Amino acid sequence: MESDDTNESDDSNVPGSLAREIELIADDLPVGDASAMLASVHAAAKRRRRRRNAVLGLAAAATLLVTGVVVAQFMSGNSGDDMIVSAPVTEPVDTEPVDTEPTDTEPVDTEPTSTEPVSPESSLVPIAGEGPDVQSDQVAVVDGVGTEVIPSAVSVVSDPEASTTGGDQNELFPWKDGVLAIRTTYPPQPLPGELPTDVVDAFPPEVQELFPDGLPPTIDEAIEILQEADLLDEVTQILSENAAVSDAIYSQPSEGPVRTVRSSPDGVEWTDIDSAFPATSDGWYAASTGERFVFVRNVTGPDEAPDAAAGGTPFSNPVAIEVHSSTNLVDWSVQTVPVPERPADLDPRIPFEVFAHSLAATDSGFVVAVDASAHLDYVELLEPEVRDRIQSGSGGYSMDQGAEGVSIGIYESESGELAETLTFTWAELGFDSPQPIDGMSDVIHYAGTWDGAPAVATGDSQGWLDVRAVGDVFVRLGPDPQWSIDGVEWTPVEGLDDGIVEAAIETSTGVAVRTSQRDGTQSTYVGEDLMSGEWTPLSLPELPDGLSSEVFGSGAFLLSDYGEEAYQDPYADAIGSVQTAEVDGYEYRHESLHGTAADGSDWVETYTLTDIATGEVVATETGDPSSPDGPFEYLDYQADFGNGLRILDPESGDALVTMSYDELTHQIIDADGTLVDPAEFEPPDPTAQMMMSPEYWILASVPDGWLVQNVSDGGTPDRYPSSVVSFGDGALVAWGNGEISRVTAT
Amino acid sequence: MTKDASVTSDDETRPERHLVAVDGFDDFFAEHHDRIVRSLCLVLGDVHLGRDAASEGFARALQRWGRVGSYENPAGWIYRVGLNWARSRRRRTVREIPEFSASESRSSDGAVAAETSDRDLRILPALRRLSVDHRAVVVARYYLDYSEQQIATALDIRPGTVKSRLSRALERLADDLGTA
Repeated sequence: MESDDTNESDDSNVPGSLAREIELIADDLPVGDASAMLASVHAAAKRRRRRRNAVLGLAAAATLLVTGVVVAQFMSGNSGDDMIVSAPVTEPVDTEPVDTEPTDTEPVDTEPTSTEPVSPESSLVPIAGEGPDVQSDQVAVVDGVGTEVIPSAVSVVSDPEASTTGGDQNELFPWKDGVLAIRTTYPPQPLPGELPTDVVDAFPPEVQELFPDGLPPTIDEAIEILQEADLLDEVTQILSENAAVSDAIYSQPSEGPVRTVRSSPDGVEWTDIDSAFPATSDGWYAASTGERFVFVRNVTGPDEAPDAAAGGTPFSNPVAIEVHSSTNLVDWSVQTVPVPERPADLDPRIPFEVFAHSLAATDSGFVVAVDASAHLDYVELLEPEVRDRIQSGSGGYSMDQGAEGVSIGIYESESGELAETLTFTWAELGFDSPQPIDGMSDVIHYAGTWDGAPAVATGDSQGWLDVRAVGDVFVRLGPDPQWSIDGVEWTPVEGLDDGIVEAAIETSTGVAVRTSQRDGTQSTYVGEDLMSGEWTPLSLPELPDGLSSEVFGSGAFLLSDYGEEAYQDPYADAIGSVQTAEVDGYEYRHESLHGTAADGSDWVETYTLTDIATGEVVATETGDPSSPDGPFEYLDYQADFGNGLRILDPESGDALVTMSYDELTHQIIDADGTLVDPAEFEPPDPTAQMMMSPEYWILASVPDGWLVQNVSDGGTPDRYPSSVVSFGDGALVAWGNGEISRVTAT
Repeated sequence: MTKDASVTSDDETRPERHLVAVDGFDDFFAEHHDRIVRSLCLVLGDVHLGRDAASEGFARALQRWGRVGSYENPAGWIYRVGLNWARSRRRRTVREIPEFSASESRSSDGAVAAETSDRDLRILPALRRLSVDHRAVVVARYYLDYSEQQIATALDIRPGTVKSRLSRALERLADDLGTA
């Protein structure tokens, strides 16, 4: 049979040199620096794994009404990396890790997936406030450099009743031969006693009837009432779509967080400490030398943040940066750190933000890292009605900036699809040239001593975002690590030339660091100190490959694989599909039976066309879809300008029947051979499909060697590590759900 | 090529889960980088966009390399991801990435024409006048050397659509080149 001319790819009417000419064009195209792109690719993949963890943590907190819009924006990709633009030809290519783009940007995986479901069972059994040793594992192994892995056991020691949602997790610090746990708890949002009529009218009668005597004192109580009435989702939607109503509901200032301090000699018995930590919402960063506890406050004032509760928020510029220290948690001394001044030549419309964001302490002094950045809030420059349009949508928005201006995408809340794109030139925004939207961050390190003298800025701190203390030595982490005794004079750390120093801890015999290589893999090196430049790889067979340092604290690393993407194929168990139609007295049936080979090579396609009146099969073919010419010879998929198919008579070439794709009924053949409507298959959860449960391992230094222990539990929500510390012969891990795991030598 | 490996600890306390190895990705990248970048540059008509699209495709492949690496044609998967990403990006950033209109001759930095301005190539302007969909199949067929079935799989379109697009694209090329 002859093929339809319009469907035949005939090379005869183009120059035979087409391939060669294209090849010549392509050869001239500059492909750029492949190694730079490879590094960028690895970095992007790593960032996305990190982000998935963050997104899941945020999504779990979305039961609070206020987070609805935030989550929508986050899920729409408006989270920083979305602002990366096409790289210039001379620079390494970067990409934008948008994992939640509309589905049309990424191919549907038609290949069979071999991922397996996560075991829902936890291997850790909570023990309320009691002792250790629920499970034990690991055997003692002497590694290649003579460091012993100590057999250990893991248990959960926190009180499950005290465990709440993310934000209430503990921070752990070494303290007086034991450990200090500081839990930060945020009081519930208070509600106004009375709402304006127009705000009340925004809610349907059934919601208003739930509160005949006005709103309850706090939002937690209101949520409970709404949940019982099954109206929480409806109210959340109203709040997310109506900024004025949301503002009215959240109009009452909330009290600052409450910090509960407990100490323990063993991680099992805990004693409450009546400390004098400030109950404000100021930014808080803390460190401990074991004998001295230190925290830094961004003290915001009414001039800077007139509407902020209790002195401002962490995002208000501080009027002062204070370092508080104590050796008994009762008596405190305060030292000040200079607040970086706004550059005189910075456009007055661009906010200049200052924020102390990390702290390191030794017995002799401290180093504070202060971030100072210019950040243009372009939305504030827009006309009010445009601003409202952008901010009122519950589907979130994204932003791209370029040489010409800013492009803002507004997304549909339900479909997640791009609904509208607004563009503004820099001139329209009132500028002569492109402005920094994602910030010009400058990190300044200030060093001080415990004698009360004002802290001083150290030289050349740009580029070292993180500073830590390892014993009595400060260390700047990153690609070019440096060490310092006084925090002022810095010296390169020698001997670690193969990657970025991600983490550093003090060990029982010196110091250990985690370095990451270009391909994203990490290694552990141990040495006597940071100064000698002599390092030995730490090779522990018990520790799996492919882990990265997620958090680290005194004497311990908490390592993770960050989870893996878990593509949830709703048809994973299906063995095939069927399309049927009845047209012009014929029954058409097309079966696609999936094979088991990964490349789909043994998939089989069969169609039959049956005369309904006589039961006679008038046409049928069986073929291999991987065949270069397709599975069928007499089935034309391009009938009716691509909108339908037709089956041709092998002898005459005439169409036996033509049908549009709309006439076809699709069914899935499940594992039992039953035909199922595709609608009955659960669509993949867009958040749950983002990762498999991450696996967490603790690597902790203890006096006789190392504890290497898997502290995963199969993926409990909110159970992400927030803090880790080693003390005595054990270690503790604090989790985002309030839980604390204890690992002890056995 | 590595494949997924289901790892279950013999230690009963360790939760069962699925680990995906990424070994072999760097070798694959080294082997296919140039060709994928160039193919996307050709289709998209912009060197910067082509590189970004390739980078995005590789990054997404790495994220799920255990699965993508086992495919018959991982490069084809990346080709499609890159194209889809670029189309989406084009929709989202209309200012940043101007449309590749039929008779437009871009001269800004990064445009393919600028990069090849020293070569008298009749085929380039003809290619540029094709739609992106048609360029995608032409480049896949004549530069990546994919079979029609491979193109169909890579671009997730029917083989018949490949035939149709290729046929029309070649007709258009022939018209433009005066060889019809």
